[in-house]
Amino acid sequence: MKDTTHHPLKNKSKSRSFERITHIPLFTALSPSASSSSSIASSASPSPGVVRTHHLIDQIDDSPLLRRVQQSHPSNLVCCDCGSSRTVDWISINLLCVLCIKCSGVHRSMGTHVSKVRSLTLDSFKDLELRYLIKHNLRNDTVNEIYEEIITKQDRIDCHATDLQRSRFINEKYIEKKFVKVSHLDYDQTLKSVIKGIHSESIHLLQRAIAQSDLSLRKLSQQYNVENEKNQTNVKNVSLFKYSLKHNVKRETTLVFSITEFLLINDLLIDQNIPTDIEAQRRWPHEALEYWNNKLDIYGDVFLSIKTSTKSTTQDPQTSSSSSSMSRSKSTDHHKKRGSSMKRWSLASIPKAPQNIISMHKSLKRKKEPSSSATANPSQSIPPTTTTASATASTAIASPPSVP
Amino acid sequence: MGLFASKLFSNLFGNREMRILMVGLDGAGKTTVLYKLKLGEVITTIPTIGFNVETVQYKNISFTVWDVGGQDRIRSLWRHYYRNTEGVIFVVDSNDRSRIGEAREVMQRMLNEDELRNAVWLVFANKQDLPEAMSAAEITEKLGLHAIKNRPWFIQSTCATSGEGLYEGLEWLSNNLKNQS
Repeated sequence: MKDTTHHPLKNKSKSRSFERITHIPLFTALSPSASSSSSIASSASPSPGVVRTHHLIDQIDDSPLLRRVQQSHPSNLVCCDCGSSRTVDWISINLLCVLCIKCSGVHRSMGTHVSKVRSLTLDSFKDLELRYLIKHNLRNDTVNEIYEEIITKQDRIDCHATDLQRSRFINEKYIEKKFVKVSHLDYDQTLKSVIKGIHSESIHLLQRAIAQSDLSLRKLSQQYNVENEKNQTNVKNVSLFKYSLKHNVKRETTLVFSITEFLLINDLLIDQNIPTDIEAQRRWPHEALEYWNNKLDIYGDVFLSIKTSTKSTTQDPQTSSSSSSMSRSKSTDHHKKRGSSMKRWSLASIPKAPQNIISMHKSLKRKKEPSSSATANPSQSIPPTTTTASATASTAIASPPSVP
Repeated sequence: MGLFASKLFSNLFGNREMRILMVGLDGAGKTTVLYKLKLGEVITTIPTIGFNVETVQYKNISFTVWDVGGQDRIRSLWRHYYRNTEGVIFVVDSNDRSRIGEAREVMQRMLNEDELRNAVWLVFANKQDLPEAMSAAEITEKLGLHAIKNRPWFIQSTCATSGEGLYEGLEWLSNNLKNQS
């Protein structure tokens, strides 16, 4: 009976809401079609030039995802916010926590820039990187270690909380960041922690950096790019996106870009200029270029008309040519050798980082040949086709049509 | 003939009915739109598994609005609601740039559905209050609305929590119902 309290209108006799009554038979009756729907969805998902075949292989074991999450840590058996043990099959893919359906509703109300909610049972996860993150990095205890670090007993809510209490608590926790110990970090401090997080390939450090910062990753990468643009020296700094792409996980025969994926889901800006000439492409493992290409389809035109106009005109031929050359370069082991030699970057190749970061991370520095700093910085080889802000006023989109 | 007679009859009394199907990706704000229209207040929603249906009176038209869950795997259930649908409201979360491509795919597939060929098409560019929300013009372009040639369509900026734009949408629907009959 408690279940019906979910519905806000249960007491209004006038309302004709059949949600609770009908969802079970409807869903079970049609569950056989769930598999067909996922196949439709997969064919309709953004179709980039290159398809990563292992996505399809990985897709087959779809059902155990919920079980996998529950088994990965005991804290995942209860809701991250209210501790309820019922309907805990909703997740926030950017915060990486498991929620009950009621708390997931509040998470959705905050906007996708705060929390991106999905269902472990009603959504399909086709993306290799996202599945990897869910399987390996989704843990309520780590999230609460950050977001409830300085919480007191009376701040907490339990599963019997009212809608209002629940909503207030979740807003305090994730928007005001009231229970995060160190917060309101500025640009320099955040950049430092993000770089450190990427370098040590730690999702947990990155989660903490995001929680502690006053800036979103979008703002951070925006400002980073602006500062980079101002940089007068010849050597441009590598973008955070490219830097993260270097820090991938080798898994069996393929590379998994889970660090980059996590950052992108948290609104990091993607690089628009994917390498187009073959020489520049050879500096990257082909998986990285494939991944980049795929993500460009999803996150590529994040920045309004500036990028949408350039993408439709210049980017399309670029991506198509790059995908064809990518498939050609796949088999060359010369390419493979290059790829492995750049597996790790030194922080020295990110000159724009606050100076002390380099000394700070001396311990993290990997050994490498003195000459490699030139080759390891792919941004140098990228043709300076900087699609400047000249295209800003390209909103030639027609206004909504009038009523016929 | 019977349908014609009933339409004529209801016309004489100035009351009309219109069956509306409201769809969109999960978390776009469909249920919030529905209950803002029905009750005039913002309610705390949970993800819809199944559907909600309400009648909303606007001017002389009684809209029966079906709000169906938008999660990926339950989108295949939408087709059960297509028959006799006179208008589709496609709700988009204007703040979620990373999923606008997915919204486009889903919407374009629906536009090809035979059972919906006579339905007029209203897009709600919802959550306009959130930071960096895409404008209606931007969403028009990204959804490829200009390519729709075979039916009336309209995009309306909305904010379901404040109610902005919702009645303008119903106004457009009511005008188009008149045009069709």
